[in-house]
Amino acid sequence: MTDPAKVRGETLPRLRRRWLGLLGLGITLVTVAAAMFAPWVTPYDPLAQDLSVALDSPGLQHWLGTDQLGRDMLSRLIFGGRVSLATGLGSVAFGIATGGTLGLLAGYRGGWVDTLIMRGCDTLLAFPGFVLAAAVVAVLGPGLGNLILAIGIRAAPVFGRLARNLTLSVRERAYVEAARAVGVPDTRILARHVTPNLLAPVLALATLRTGTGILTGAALSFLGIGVAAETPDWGTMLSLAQPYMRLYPHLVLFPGLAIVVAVLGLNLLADDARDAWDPRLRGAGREV
Amino acid sequence: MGRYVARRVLQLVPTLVVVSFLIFLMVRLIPGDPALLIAGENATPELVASIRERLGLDRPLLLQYWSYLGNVLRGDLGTSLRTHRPVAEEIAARLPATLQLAVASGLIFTVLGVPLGVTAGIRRGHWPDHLVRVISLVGVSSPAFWIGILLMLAFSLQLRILPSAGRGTLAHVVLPAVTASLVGIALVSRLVRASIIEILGEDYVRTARAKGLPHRAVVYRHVLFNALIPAVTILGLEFGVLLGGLVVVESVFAWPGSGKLLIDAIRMRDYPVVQSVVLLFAFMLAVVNLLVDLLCGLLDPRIRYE
Repeated sequence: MTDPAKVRGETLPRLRRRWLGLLGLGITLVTVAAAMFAPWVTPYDPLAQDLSVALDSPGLQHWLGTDQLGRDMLSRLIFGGRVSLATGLGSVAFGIATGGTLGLLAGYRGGWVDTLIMRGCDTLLAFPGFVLAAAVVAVLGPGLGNLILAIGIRAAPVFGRLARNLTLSVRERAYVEAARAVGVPDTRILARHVTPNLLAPVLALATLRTGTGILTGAALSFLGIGVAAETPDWGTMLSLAQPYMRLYPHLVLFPGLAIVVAVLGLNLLADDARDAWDPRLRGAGREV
Repeated sequence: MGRYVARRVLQLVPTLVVVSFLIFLMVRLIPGDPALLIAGENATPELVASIRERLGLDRPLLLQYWSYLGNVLRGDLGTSLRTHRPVAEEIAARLPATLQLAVASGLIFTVLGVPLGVTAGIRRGHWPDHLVRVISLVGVSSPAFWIGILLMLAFSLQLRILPSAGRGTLAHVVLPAVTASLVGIALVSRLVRASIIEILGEDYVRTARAKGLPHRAVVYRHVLFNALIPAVTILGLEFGVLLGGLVVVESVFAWPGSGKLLIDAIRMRDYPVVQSVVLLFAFMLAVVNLLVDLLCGLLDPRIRYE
């Protein structure tokens, strides 16, 4: 007979974990929805200046107050979510499209193709992640597109390694060997038999790296080398608010909280996905 | 052992060659005339011509790289566009500040992170474990620059008990070091916890328990030390993360280190400085990974020097 206390001790943490994963999913869905429908859910134009209400504290008119130019904080935060999500998702999409594809190729082909692609990954990973992204921005110049590319280049080798290692193990499975034996073309084997096996772990890593991308992008923008200063963005908002923060702490409180909540949501979701799909990803998602 | 160390050091060479080639290419990938980029916008035609001469832009790319590498190895990293001083001097002037901050934050996250991780691992599933889980999740999800700003707001601007920027007294180190250590605490406690849990499941721990060794003795004699080795290895791999954190924290607190130098140089398009600091950081990362490998080999007799 099983000891009920023991069952309780093992099941409860697991349930609590699922609960945290659901919380993460909820946060992420709200963030994405707010960003998608930003023009319809924001009470004000995020760029509209009204100096008569500059540096207003949170209240009924402006729920989260206004900034030094009288722009509505809540509206700017919601539009800032667009920039952050574009950075996070865009860089991950770039990382999967380039690194993921090359990793797949490396794992499936093996030999010198594998060696070459993996040496390339090693080289990119030889730089501290944040420093690499900053250096790429230095080459490309500021702007949202370049920011996405810079963070994407950093994400590429991480996806490359994962895709390569997974492909290596899938390649050895009997059904892949059977497909090859009956003459199924390589492209079809990759599409039908290999790629589906990679989806779950790659998605788990993608969730994690989206959060990393948001953090890196916010840090670069905060330092003045990310998106342009007039863009409503969580990082630039924090940077511009610094001179006023002693008297108006709400200016630095809310943008930072927005980052933490958005990234925490993604991390909770990623933790849950990792527990469910792939325990190998532990600790693979933080740059700054 | 000596041969093993020598071979590991030699293995660094190809990595650093490729890394330095990428950094060399950096300036040449930017659209426009590299000589003009390096000379800066307000340079005289003579200066641009002399830089073009120095870079040898009419020669094949590999030859250009060869002379770049030669210059770097001789300690000639070029001249800063902003200060017109040798880049090597600029970096040397700021390196001690970065090292001081790195050591201070390293001390903080080791002293706090290791005990947190050990407690969480030993009391798995109980409240210390949950507490550590929350700390590491929030720590990993929070932007260091924001935490730094909040600490500055609280302790410098409101309470006025700590300086908000610059370097000088010991008090100046406190806020930047605490900020930079937060990521480390999150990483270390998580790694040590996982490592402790793994070791607790080992056969020799079960044997120690079975022969009646008290819990405390099992933990101190068989678990702690063995758990630290994998944790140190992974932490070494995460050194790049900590280094990236330092770059940001230095800029937040106007800490005059090499990380702030990098960000300032990117802002001012001071490419010779950007190239050299990026190279330095990649070099530091490679050396730290090597040292961690060697250290683990020293601590763990099971790792053979094959």
